[in-house]
Amino acid sequence: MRIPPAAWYRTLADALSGPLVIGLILALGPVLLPPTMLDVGALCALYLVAGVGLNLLMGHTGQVSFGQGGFWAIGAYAVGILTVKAGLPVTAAVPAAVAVTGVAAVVIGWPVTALRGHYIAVATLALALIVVDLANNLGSLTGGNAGLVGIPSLTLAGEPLSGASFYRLCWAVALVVLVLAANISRSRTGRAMRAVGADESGSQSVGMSSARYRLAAFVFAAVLAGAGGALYATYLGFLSPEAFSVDLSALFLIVIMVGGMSSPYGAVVGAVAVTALSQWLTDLSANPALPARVVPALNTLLYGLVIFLVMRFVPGGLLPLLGRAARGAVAMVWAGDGRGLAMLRIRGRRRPAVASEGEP
Amino acid sequence: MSQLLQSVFSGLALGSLFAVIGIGFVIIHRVTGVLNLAQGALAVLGAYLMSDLVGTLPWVASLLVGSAVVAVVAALIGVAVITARQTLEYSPTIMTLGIAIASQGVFVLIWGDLPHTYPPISQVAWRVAGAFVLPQQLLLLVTASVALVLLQLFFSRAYLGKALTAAALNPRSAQLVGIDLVRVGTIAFAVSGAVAGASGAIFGALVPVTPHSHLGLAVAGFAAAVLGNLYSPTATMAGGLLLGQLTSAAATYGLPEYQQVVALVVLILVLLGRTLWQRRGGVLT
Amino acid sequence: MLQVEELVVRYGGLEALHQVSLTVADGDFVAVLGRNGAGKSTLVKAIAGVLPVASGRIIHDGDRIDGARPAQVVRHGIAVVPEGRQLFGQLNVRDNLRLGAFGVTSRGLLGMARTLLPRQRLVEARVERVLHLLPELAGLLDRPAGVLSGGEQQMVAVGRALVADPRVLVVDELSLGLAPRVVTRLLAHLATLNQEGISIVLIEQNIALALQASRSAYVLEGGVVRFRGRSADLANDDTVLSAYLGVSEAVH
Repeated sequence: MRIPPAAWYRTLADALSGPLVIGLILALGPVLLPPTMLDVGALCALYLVAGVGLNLLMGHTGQVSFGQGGFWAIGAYAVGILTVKAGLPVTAAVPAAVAVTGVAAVVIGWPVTALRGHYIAVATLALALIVVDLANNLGSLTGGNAGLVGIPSLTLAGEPLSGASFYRLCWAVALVVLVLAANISRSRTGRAMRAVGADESGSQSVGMSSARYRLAAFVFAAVLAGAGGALYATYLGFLSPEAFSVDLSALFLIVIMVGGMSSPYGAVVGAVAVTALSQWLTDLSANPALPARVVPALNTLLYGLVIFLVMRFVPGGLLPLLGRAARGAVAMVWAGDGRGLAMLRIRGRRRPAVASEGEP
Repeated sequence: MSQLLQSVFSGLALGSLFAVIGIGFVIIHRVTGVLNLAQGALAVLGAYLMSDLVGTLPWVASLLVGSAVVAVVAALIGVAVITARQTLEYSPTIMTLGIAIASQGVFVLIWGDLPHTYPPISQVAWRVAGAFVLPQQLLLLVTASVALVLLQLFFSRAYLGKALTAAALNPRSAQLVGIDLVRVGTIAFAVSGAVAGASGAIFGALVPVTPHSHLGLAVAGFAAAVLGNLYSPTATMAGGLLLGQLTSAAATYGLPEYQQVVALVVLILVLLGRTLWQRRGGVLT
Repeated sequence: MLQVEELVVRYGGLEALHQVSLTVADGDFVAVLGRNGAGKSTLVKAIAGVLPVASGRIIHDGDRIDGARPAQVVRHGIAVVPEGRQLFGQLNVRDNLRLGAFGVTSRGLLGMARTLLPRQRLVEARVERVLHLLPELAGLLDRPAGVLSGGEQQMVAVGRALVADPRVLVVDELSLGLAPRVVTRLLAHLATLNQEGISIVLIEQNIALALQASRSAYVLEGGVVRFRGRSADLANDDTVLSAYLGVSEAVH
C-alpha cells in the first residue's frame, strides 16, 4: 500500500495553525471557555504577539535576542508612567507606549544589530537585565520595587474592556500581527531577511542594506513585544519589576523554540504551550501544602529546563515533530504496518558540537 | 583619598570574581566554541555549597569539597552541551542559558530566596592608609591570580594543556591524533567550574549570596572576557579587575543602586568598540 | 592488513561511497586516485573514524575498526596525514610532533594523569625516532608551525602521524599546493618508510607521481571503485585514465 504523499499533510498542518485557527479561537473562546480562563487566554494572545516578532528576528535574520522581555517591560512601564504619572488617557497611552518602544528599539538596535552571534545574544541579555534594574532603581518614575499601581483598563465606548471583550481584542491583534508577519515572511523583504540570516560570515553580500534589514527585524520584534507589554499593563492594572525578570525573556524564547523557528505560525503552538504550562503552575500554587516560594521557583526551573531540553533534543521545534508524528501515525494506519514509525525519526547530522563542520 | 582607596579595595574582590568568571568563559570558548552563560550560576553554586559545608568542615576542606562538586556539575553541563547536535551557531549558548535559568529555580528550591551568608576567614580588617581591607578580599585576589598562573602554566607546558589548545586550533586534526574532543571540552568546563566555584565560595563571605545574581555575574564576567578578546586569560584578568574598580567607584561615588547597570553598560560599550574597530578594518585575533 | 569491505558512507544526505572494497596488504604502497568529489576524502575520514559508516566493514589486522573512535583507530596502528596539512599553527613544530602521540599514550587513567606533565619519556622517545626518519625536521623544531612553507608543513604533518608509530600511513592529497620538486622529495621519504615496513595509502590527484610511487592503485569515481590493480598496469591503461581521471594520454 503506498504511503500517501507528504504534501497533503504539510498543507493540512499549515492550515491547522494558520489564521483559520486564530479566527476560531477568537470567535469561539468566549463561548467555550469558562470566564476565569478568558484572562489567561488573552495573555496567551499577547505572548503570541511577542513570539511572532521574535520568530521574525531569530528565525529569519538569525539574530539571537534574549531581550524581548526588556521591550515588553518598556511597553508596559510606558503605559504605566503615561497614565499614572502623566495623566494621559489610556486609549492614547497604549499607542504612545508602542511608539516609545519603537524609538527605544531604534536607538538600542542601531548599535546592537551591528553585533553578531554570541555577542548580540549577551548584549540583549544585558539589556533585559538593565531594564529590570532601571525599573527597580528609578523609583520616582516607576514606583521602584513597590511597583506602579492604578493603571486603568482600556475602554471601548465608555465600557472597560475585560473578560470576553479584552480577550477578543487581544486575539484580534494577534490575528492581524500573524497575518502581517506571514505576509512579510513570504514577501521580498522576508526573503531578504532570510538571506541576511543565512549569511553567517557577515560579509554583507546581500548589500549594505543587510544592516537595515537586521535593524528592521529588531525593531519589528521589539515593537510587537512592547505592544504586548502595553496591553498587559492595562489588563493587570499594576506593574512590579519582578514580573519582568529573565523568566519573561525565557518565556518568549520558549514560545518560538517550541513552535519551531521556520514559520511565524509555529509561535501559535508555542504560545499555547507556554500558557498552558504557566496556568498549570498557577493552579499548583493554589495548593496550600506548598510554601509560597516553591511555585515561582518551579516556574523558573521549568522554563530553564524546557529551553535546555528543546534545544538539546528537539532543536527543530515541536511543531515540525508534531507534523511528522501526524503523518507517521496516519501512514501507519494506512499501510497497516510499522513503516510510519520511520517518519518519526529525527533527521539531522549526528555530530558533537565541537567537531569541525566539514566538506566532503 | 581614603574614600578612593576604600573604593579600590572593595573593587578588588568583585573584580577578582569577574576576572575568574571571565577566564572561565575564555577557556571554555577557546576549547569548545561555547559561550557558557551558566558561569555565574557556577560561582553562585560554589557560594551556596560553602554556606552549607562551612558549619561542619574546616574552611579549607569546605572550599575544596565545594569546588570539586561545582567542577563535577560543570563537567556534566559540558557533556550535555558538547554532545548535542548543533543546528544553529548559537544553540549551545542557548542551552547554557536554559541551564542557568533552571539553576536559579534550583537555588530557590534548595536554599530559599533569602540571602545566605557565612563568616570570612577573618573578621579583623587591616587598616591601610586610612582605608579598611579584609583579608578575605585579598584572598580572593590571590586565588584569582594563582588560578591564572596555574592555568597559563597548564596551557603552555602541560601535554594535556597543549592538547586542549590543539583542539581549539584545529578540532579536525586534533581528532585525528587521538584527542577526544568531548573529553577535552569537558575538562575545560570542569576547570572553569572549579575556579568559578572556589571564587564564588570566597566571595560569598563578603557579600551574601542570592539566587538571582548569577546572570549579572555572567554578563560582567563576559565583559571581562571580551576585554581579553575571548582569548587571553591575562587580559581577561586585567579586564575583570578594571570592571570591578568601575563598579566599585559607581557604588562609592553616588550611584550604589546602579552597580549592575555599570557592568552591563561597560559590556555594551566594549562590544560596540570592538565592532567599530573591526569595521574600520582593524584586526582582532 | 587493512581491508575495506563493501563500505557505504553517507555524507550530507548523499551516499558518498557505494560498496567500496579495498585491500592494503602489509608493506604495500597503494594509490587511491579519482577526480574531485569522487569520494577519496570520504574514504579517508571513514577509515580514520571521523565519519560514521552506514554499512560495510573496515578490518585491520583481523579486528573490525569501522565505527571506532579516531583515538581507537590511531591506537590500532593507522595514522592519517590530513588533506591540507592541518597543523596546529600556533604551536611549535616540536609540540605538533609530540601531540601526534597523544592518542596512543593517554590510554587509561594513568595515561590521562601523565598528560598533566610537560614531558614524558615515551613521547620524547617517539619524537626522537621520527627525527631520525625525517632529519629535515630537526632544524624546524622551535618554529611555530603556521609560519613554515607548504613543503615543510607537509613534512611536519607526516612526522606528526609517524609519531603514533603506525603500521599504516594514510596520506590525503600530499601534493596539494606544493612544487613538484618538494613532492618528489616527500615521496622519497614515503618510499623509505615503506621499505621499513609501513604500509602507505596515498590519496592523490597528481596521477603521474602517484602511479610512480605506488605499487597498487584504485580509481574511485562517484563513490564507486572503477579500477583496482597494479599501478604499472593503470599507467598504461588509456581507457581507464581518460574515462575516470580525465587524462588523455598514457602516463609513463
